[in-house]
Amino acid sequence: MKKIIFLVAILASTIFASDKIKIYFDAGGSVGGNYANIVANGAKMAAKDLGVDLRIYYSDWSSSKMINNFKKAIASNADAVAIMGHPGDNAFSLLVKKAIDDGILVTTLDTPLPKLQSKYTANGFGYVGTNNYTSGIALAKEAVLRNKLKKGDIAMVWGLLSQPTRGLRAKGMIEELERDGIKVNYIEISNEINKDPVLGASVFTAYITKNPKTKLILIDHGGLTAQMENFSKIANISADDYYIAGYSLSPATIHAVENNYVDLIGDGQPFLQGYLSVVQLALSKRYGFSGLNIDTGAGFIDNKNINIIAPLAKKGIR
Amino acid sequence: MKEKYIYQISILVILFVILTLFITTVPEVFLQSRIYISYLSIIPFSMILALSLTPLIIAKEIDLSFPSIMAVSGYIFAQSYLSFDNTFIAFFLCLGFGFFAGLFNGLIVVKIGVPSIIATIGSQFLFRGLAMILSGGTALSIMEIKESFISDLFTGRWFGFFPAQSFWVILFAVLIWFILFKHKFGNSVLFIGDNKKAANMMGINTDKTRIILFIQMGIMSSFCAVLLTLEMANWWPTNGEGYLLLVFASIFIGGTSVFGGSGTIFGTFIGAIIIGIIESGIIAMGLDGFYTRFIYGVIILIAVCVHAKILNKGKV
Repeated sequence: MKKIIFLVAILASTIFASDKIKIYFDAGGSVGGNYANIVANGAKMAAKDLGVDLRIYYSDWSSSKMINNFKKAIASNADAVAIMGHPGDNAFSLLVKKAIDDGILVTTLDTPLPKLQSKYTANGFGYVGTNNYTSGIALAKEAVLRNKLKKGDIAMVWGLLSQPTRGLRAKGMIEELERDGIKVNYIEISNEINKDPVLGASVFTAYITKNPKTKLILIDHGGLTAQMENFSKIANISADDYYIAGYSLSPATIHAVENNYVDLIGDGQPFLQGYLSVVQLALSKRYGFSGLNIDTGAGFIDNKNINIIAPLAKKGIR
Repeated sequence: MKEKYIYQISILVILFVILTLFITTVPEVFLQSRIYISYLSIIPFSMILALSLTPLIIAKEIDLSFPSIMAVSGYIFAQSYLSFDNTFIAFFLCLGFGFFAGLFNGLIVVKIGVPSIIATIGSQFLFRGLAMILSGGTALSIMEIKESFISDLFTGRWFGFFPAQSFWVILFAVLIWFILFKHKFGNSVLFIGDNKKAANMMGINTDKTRIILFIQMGIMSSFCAVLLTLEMANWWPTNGEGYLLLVFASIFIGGTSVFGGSGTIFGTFIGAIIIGIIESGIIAMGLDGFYTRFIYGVIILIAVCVHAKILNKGKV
């Protein structure tokens, strides 16, 4: 009897599994990383809404890991794969060709792959996300405007220029500020601080002690942005001493915005990146739609609209 | 003068050279109290970990799981505080996890016989995974805890400026120095590191001693997580990940031998300060952050070469 029940259960699960579209999804960052977690939450909600069999993997923002994960997804007979575009068109070209030849749909999120997108749009290859470079420009432009900065003023940019695609956002910030005649002091985020932002406190203290005339601080790192209230307190500076802008929402960032330690947040709406990528793949698989091109990065958050967004951030949606 | 004292003076000289370099090149930063208060706030976290790992290294063991123990402990502390609104329950639950995590590592290494490097690689994945499963990958904010007695006790600003965590780390350094070098338990640790078989033959309970060392490491990792969570009033799932290399660098700069059997608490203490001030000094000097790792490498190599030369054993 037990054997029969077991066989029926296996058969039923196989039938149900075969009905569902199996999507492999790269959330990009590390497990538990704020940004990757929100992207994954979006993908999970879409999978639930559409009845998709979703498999999520993480790449620690490592290009080689993204490629390896894609290879594994192809080998696992996925119906569709959502990839992070950070390794670039050339690195992905042969693999995407093989996947599409094998009938596996592919789309990219967070970072575009323009050559592949133009080649395979009809096969459902799309893009959901922001453009890192223009996103950096937008945040810098908005911060300069709101802070009424003028030529000769000093700004600090704390970013990850050493990472090719990820670094484009810091590049955009720096170029925009320099176009406005603002002197930029750039600090690269070290590996340790990248992993554990709390280690950045003494770097921040050293910088502002050395450069007290700095007016604007732009941070291209969600974890560091979240720590700015703590860092400011450790460095014994008040909320209004500097105009600080960064990315990504977390409970700590919300608190910092509410208390004016962080003045402006650029929101790439990562939840939408996860959600819409899964929607696009599911629709393309079921109805043969071509790939969509969706820009999710449009929002700015400050202490005027934080009250609406804060509860959603605590749930991992914003 | 004994070689180890010569080495300790050498490492102190290296610290003074670095500080003098910083003070002369960027006096506007290093002649102000602000930067030192920042160091007193942040360095204790890696220092506590390095101090508690030093006896394990001396006993020829290693623990690579402490960053993950920190992650789970910090989560337990923050979540218990949010659930029970009681900092003492949160504190003891957190340390309780550290105790069991250390015991778990110790039993795998000592009773099952898995080499500690392999066992703790496994447990660091296990504990990190546990942190992710428990938290669902979401950070926790506990800003209200800043008003609590436990926050004042462990991470408050005593006399209006002095970060309390510095006091606790100094107290811990004195305690662990006393146990290691003035107590028979410390003799056992040194014997085990030098020659475990001989230590066994001399009647030292090597199994019990090593398990206690792993438990001590687990509890202190949890205590460090409490300090970190109180200081930042936040817990995040990647807690502790950045500390692994910094802690080992502090220990080996400090002159503890990777072959076991010898090491100094004073050396680890100074090593942690050196590692803790380098990056901010480089940034203050106007150099790019890209230089940080290069300079870490130079200092570690100088320190271990000095160590090898002084001890004239060719092994560090």
